[in-house]
Amino acid sequence: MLLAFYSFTRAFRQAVLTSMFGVVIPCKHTPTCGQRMLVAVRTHSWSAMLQAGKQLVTCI
Amino acid sequence: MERNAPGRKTISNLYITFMQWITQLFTFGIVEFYTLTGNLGWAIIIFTLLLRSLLFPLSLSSQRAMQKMRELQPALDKLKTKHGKDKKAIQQAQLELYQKNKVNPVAGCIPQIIQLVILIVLYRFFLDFLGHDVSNGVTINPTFYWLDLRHPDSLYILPILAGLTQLVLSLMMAPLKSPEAKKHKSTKKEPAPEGIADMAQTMQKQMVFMMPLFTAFIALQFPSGLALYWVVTTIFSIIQQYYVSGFDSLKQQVSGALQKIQGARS
Repeated sequence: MLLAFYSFTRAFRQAVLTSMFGVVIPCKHTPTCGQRMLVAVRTHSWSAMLQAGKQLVTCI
Repeated sequence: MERNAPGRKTISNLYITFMQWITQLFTFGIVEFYTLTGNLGWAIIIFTLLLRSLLFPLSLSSQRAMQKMRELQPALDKLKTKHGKDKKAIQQAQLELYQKNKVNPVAGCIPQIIQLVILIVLYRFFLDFLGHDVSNGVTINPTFYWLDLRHPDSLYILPILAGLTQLVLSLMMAPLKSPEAKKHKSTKKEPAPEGIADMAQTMQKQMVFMMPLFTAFIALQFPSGLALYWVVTTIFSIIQQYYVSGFDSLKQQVSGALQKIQGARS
């Protein structure tokens, strides 16, 4: 359920931005901070959550 | 909590000031176009085209890189079949392939955040602007052909147009199917999504048809002025996409769908 929600919101955001700007620039990180956060929530891992947050904050 | 209050107030003040400034700038632009053309619909169209033209150079290079990535999709499919479930090997091979072909379409989240901010600002601006009869001292006539731009289209023409243009764009943006991928699909039923990437890919495929329906629904609910903006910006995106990749993906998707329909009939 969580995975479906995450995938839906991601696909929706990309579709909206594509329509608005013609392009969505993909993330440079693999896994992305969103994917990391999803795994962290699913596994209830605080350290993984912190790592995901750190990746998001330091992403330029 | 108390100690954070002044900081939060400053941030919210900055946000409000920024929104007011941007709204004033956009209102000034649209009102100027309105006085020039004498029609709010044309003012919105010119405003949209101008805004997209300003953003065009920024998005073109990224779009070309994305197109190159789409062209590399067959090679990526080959890598996936070659390495099987070894995700690290796939990632390494992908990276080498990108480097070999000098593709670097990836970036940090800043561009996407900027895009989202522009989107929210525009949405709020249109709703605010279309809610007033008088802007910058000019009385606005909201009639545009059969439309009252302050209300949803009662003839459903604009929502249908919004959905159709969105469908065309979604089909144009869909990745080209390689013969390898087609072969893989024809010999094996699509497996249930296991990982995040699989699920995301499945959802993206579904979004090709969900997004047009959603766009049409939004166009039915919101003022026609906003729907008009959406239609014009999507048409601009279609032209931009055609400039980069042509109609190859669209043709492939349509012929694939026709083949499926014929297969189901026979």
